[in-house]
Parts: sequence; C-alpha cells; structure tokens
Amino acid sequence: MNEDRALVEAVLAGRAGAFERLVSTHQGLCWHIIQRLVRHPEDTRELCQETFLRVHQYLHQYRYESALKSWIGRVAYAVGLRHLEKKQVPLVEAASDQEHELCLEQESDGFDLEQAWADQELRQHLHRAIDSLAPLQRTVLTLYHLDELSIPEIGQVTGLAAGTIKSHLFRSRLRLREALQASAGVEA
Amino acid sequence: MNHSSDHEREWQLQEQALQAERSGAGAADSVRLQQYRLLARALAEPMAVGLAPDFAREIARRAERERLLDGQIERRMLAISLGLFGLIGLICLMAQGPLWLGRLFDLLPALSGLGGDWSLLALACLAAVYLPGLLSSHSLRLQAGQS
Repeated sequence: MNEDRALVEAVLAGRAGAFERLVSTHQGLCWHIIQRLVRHPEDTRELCQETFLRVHQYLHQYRYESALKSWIGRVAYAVGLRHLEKKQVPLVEAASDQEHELCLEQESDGFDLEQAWADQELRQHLHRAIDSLAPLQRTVLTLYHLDELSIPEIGQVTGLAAGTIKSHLFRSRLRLREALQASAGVEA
Repeated sequence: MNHSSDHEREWQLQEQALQAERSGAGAADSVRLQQYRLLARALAEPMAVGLAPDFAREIARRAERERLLDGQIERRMLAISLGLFGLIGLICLMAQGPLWLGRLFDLLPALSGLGGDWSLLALACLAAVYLPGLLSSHSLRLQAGQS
C-alpha cells in the first residue's frame, strides 16, 4: 500500500516517468480483464488506452481505500463493461442447477494429470471451453487463477458480492470439468 | 441428496486442487481432484498481452498531451465566455443606455431633495477610502507608545 501511495503521489506531482511506471506495472491486469470481457485484441488495445487515460484523469479521486491494482482493475472493468453494453453482449448467462447435479454425478475411471497436460488437443479443447464461458465468468476465473486476486479483491474490481463471485467460480469450474471429462472420455 | 453439502464438498475440492497446483504438490488418487488441477493449470497459463512494448511510454505521453490540451481549452473557453459577456453588455448598453441615463438624471433632483448633494457624496467616498488607513496607523502609534 505504501508503494501505491508513493507511486500515486509521484504521478499527481507530475514527476517524470511516474505515470509510465504505473502503466507498465498494471497493464497486464488491465489486458486480462478487458480481453476476457471483450475477446477482441484490437478492441482490447483501444480499451486499455482508454482505461489508462481515465486513470490519469481521475487518479486524484483515488482514496487508498483499496489496493491501486484493484482500483485500476475496476476502471478497466467499467470500460470493458460499457463496451459490452454498447455491443449488446450479455455479461452472464443462466446455468441450470440440473446441469450441476448431472455433473456432480459423473466420474470417470482413471485420469493421469501429466499425461493429460501433455495432450495438446485436450488443452486446446479446454481453452475453447474457457472461451465459451460468459464474459463475467471468464473474467472472474482469470482474476482468481491467473492474477491470483482474492475473492474480496475481485469484489472490489467487479462490484459483486463475495457469495456471487464464489458462485460464479464454482459453477464455471464445474462446467469446465464436465467439458474436460467429456473430452477425455471421447479420447479414451 | 443434500445439494448444499455436495456443493460445499465440490467447492473444497476445487480449492484444494488450486492450492495443490500452486504449491506443486504430487499427484493424488482422486480423479476429480486431478481434473480440477488440470483446469487450474490451464487457467493459470500466462495470457499473451497484445500491447506494444512502448505502450506505457506512449500512454504517458498522450495523457500529458491531453492534460495540456485540456488546460488550453479551459483557458480558451474562459476567454470566449468573457468576450461574449462583454459583447452582450455592450449591446445592452447601446440599446438601453439612453433610457437608463434618462432615469438616472430624473432621480438626481429627488436625491438632492433628500440632502444627497454631489459634494457630500464625494466626501463620503473619500472618507470610505482614507478613514480605515488613518485609524489603523493611529492604533499602531498608540500600541507603540504603550510598549
């Protein structure tokens, strides 16, 4: 948090290179959030630019109540969300409980983790399944698994309650495991 | 079947798989756990960031340009507003000026009748300007004499 404060104060004081440092520190997170939401690299590039220009414009409003990465993530999320709204892309899709129950009952006989990981086709299938999730689920999964944000931090980025985030994580991982099992079953 | 306890167990399994992947633990017997571990591994795979290498520098330059431009626009808008305000004032004065002056001149005899002579008005103005200064210098002299 002290590093955040020092960096923000340097940017607000107009110190040379401070904003560039802020951008390079957080551009990865910004890309992850927006790319997971919009899934279009060209749009993501433009939206990342817009995000950081907004960050520069409104940084004086940052009150150190959350980590700087969460605050920037929230700006990126808001920018991505507005883009989806303009394109009329739904953020979430309804998943039925029946689907979860079915998935819980399924179990295959054997599974070798390292062998499965070495299987390129299986991995591609898995990534396609991740891509097929709704934008919000993809984003929450990425923030949790790749960026290693905690559930409260994801709440600060998305504005969602902890229970809702856990529900999204649970359902999407369940669905992905089902896809994985189906793919492994076909190949076996 | 208790759905909530099933879901809780499944959630614990998902979290266990995530922790096992992060800590690099050895393979387990549970097929479900192994599958969740594969999933956690795939989800944690680095995502290619498609931003130019000089993205941060370019954005910093652009933000600075926009900040300067915003300042310039603000100053120009202020100058334009003041110019428009002056122009409107001038037009109003040209259109209504004779009428206002006529009314002012009509009021002067009435003010004179109330004892509002021009010379008294001028004296009042001079007193308002100089009296505070005289009073403050007098009080300073008094304070200096006391000390």
